[in-house]
Amino acid sequence: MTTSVKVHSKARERMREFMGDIYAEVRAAKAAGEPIGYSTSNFAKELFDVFDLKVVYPENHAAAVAAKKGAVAFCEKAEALGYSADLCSYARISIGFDERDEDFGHGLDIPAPDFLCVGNNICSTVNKWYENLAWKYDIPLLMLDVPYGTKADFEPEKLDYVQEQLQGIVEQLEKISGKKFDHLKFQEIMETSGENGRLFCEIMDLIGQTNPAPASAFDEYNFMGPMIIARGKKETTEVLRMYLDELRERVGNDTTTFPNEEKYRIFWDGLCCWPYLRQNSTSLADKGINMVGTPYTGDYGVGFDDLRGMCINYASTNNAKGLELTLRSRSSMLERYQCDGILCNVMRSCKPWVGIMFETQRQLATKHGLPYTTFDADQADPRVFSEAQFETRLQGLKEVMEARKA
Amino acid sequence: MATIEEILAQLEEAARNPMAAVTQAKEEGKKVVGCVPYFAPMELVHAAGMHPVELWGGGKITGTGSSYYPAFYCSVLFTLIERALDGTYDDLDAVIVPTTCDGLRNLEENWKFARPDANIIDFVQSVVRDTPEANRYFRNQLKYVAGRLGEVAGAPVTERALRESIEVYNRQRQAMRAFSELAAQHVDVVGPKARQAVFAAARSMAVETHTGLVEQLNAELEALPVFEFKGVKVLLTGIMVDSLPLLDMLVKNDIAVVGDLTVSESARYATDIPGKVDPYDSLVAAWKDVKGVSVALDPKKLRGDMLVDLARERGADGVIACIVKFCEPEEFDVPVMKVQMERAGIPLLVLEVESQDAASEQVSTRIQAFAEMIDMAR
Repeated sequence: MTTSVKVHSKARERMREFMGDIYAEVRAAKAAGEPIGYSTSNFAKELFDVFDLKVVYPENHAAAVAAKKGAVAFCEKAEALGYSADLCSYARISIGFDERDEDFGHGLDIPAPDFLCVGNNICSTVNKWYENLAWKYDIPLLMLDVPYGTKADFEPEKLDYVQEQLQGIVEQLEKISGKKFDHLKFQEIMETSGENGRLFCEIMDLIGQTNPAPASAFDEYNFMGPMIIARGKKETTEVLRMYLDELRERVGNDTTTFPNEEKYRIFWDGLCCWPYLRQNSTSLADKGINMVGTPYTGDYGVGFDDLRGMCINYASTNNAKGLELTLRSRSSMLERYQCDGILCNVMRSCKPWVGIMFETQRQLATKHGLPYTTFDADQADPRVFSEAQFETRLQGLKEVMEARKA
Repeated sequence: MATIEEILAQLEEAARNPMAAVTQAKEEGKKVVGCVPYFAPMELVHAAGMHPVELWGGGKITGTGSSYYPAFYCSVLFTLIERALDGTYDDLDAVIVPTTCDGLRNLEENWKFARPDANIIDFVQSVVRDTPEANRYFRNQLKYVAGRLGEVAGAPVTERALRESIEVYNRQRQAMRAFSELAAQHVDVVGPKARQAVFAAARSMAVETHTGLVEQLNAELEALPVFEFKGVKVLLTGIMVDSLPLLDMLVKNDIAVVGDLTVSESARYATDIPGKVDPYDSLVAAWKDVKGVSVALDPKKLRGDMLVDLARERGADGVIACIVKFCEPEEFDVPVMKVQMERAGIPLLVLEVESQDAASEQVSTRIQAFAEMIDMAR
């Protein structure tokens, strides 16, 4: 019998410490007159470290602001500027934050950008969001254009195009940083980044493939942070290894940080609801439902050994893949993680994900014979979420899973 | 020679019944290929000896689309998948679906699975348009689409045919640019609905027929004295402005349309396709030349500035932005356009519209207030 335990995670403590350092470093660099970048979460981030450029990841930042209950005020600020309330809440929070009248605190105050880096592998929305920033500040916008994967496998021509763009991006970063590209340093950073992808994948698989799981995949949301903002850094490797050791120890002594008996294992499709993380995880745990896998964190669990592998990694993000590639990765997780059901966050402000979610779920449900349910929410705008609906839908899913187990 | 009224009637007929052109082409033994927005290469379809028809969805929302999209999805996509499901597009031999926005990416995927019998040609444009690698990639995509079209047609697309088709479409582009200018001088003859029809007819009519009619219309308009309109002159901007009740409201409020920067209207005719050594490079250059529309990457945000220039050139009193609900590229342009218009001192009215015919009481009131505001400022 697996025992639930409360654990003080040293990995988490270390992670918080160095994540905080990163925001402080950004502020210090700006004060010292260094150029600051804003980047989307899955740009070819390895390149920034080659030039020691300090970069803010507004999605990660917006999620942190939302988790600190700061979303509504900034969303409203953006909406007052004319941004529709239907637009991505990460974008609205970030745009509103940029217009803030006073410091927000929590170590989250960030300076204005001097250059912008956009990877459209997470959505096309970021093209527009960053266009507006480029216009507002009259600063360069560097684009990593990742063509949408419409086939059952990654197409060589599309990967070639991704790869060919890197040299041009490097040349622009050389101008911005005033430094020459060091290809050996790049090799080293790429190796670290590839290794961190492998470690993150190991974490996901250890949680997902151990039955009962040594933790909930909600934990992965925490460790996703360094994968977004410090993927090419050794500190991330250190933190991931520490966490992996903690998980292995729990698997070894048959303990788990999931606070209840794990009766059901589910797969969570869509982003998480940052403002309601605690409510969501508690509600699931109370019902004995453990979320053991999610494609959101899966975006960061791809390892690689070389440049081509790095490009495949950046073509593997959720919204860069069409249905066939999406089904392949989700199917693999559902099988390996022995899921009993699927819970889908129909995120009001993440249209690219939601737009193929319904067909994806139909096909997964048919193939794996699994029940699924949806609830209406958002990744960061708390105004869209209804606790009552979440509870009702989750209860319904539990009852179906219960009946199937009987 | 046909009268202006007769020409406009013919174009309006085609605009209001776009699928009639499909039937006619089929009867003539032609294969027909649907071209979903934005900027699908109709020239390639034409070069393959087939009839291109641009698909903008439309028609009643019946609810079947909700199996694919939530309610907060743009009505163009929602009605496109509904028409795909209800068989409206069954006669098409293939459909090119560009992936210009997130919703279109999903449409391309959903359509393939919703209707496995449909021949969906994925057209994944480059977002970047000004680097050699982007142009190389985009050219490969065009070649891929040409290859797929060749399979449908039963014969490959030749360079000669493509060069000739580009010329045919350039002639249409020239005629449409001239029409936009002439229509602005003759708003008594070319009202908002007639103007929209001339553009909308191009979506389905044979390009040669459409160009011929527009050239005739232009000649007739040119022969008329310029009409001095005393009401409010506006430019329209948006993805599409197809709502006929909305266009009626403009007339009711003594508002004339003297130009547009709308994807489904002038934006696609803004320049000629350059004649390059390699005709595929011509199409690459045409994609690069697309400016001032929300669905083509533009960190300079030229749309507002282009509208300001056009407003000055055409003597427009204001701009009406018709933003299709839930269209994210458009919604992101709004706050910037507001600033750009304000700086230039040009009144901007932002309306949230559906691709459908509906136009609310609220829209009507806002149009009226906008016209009154401009009138008072005079």
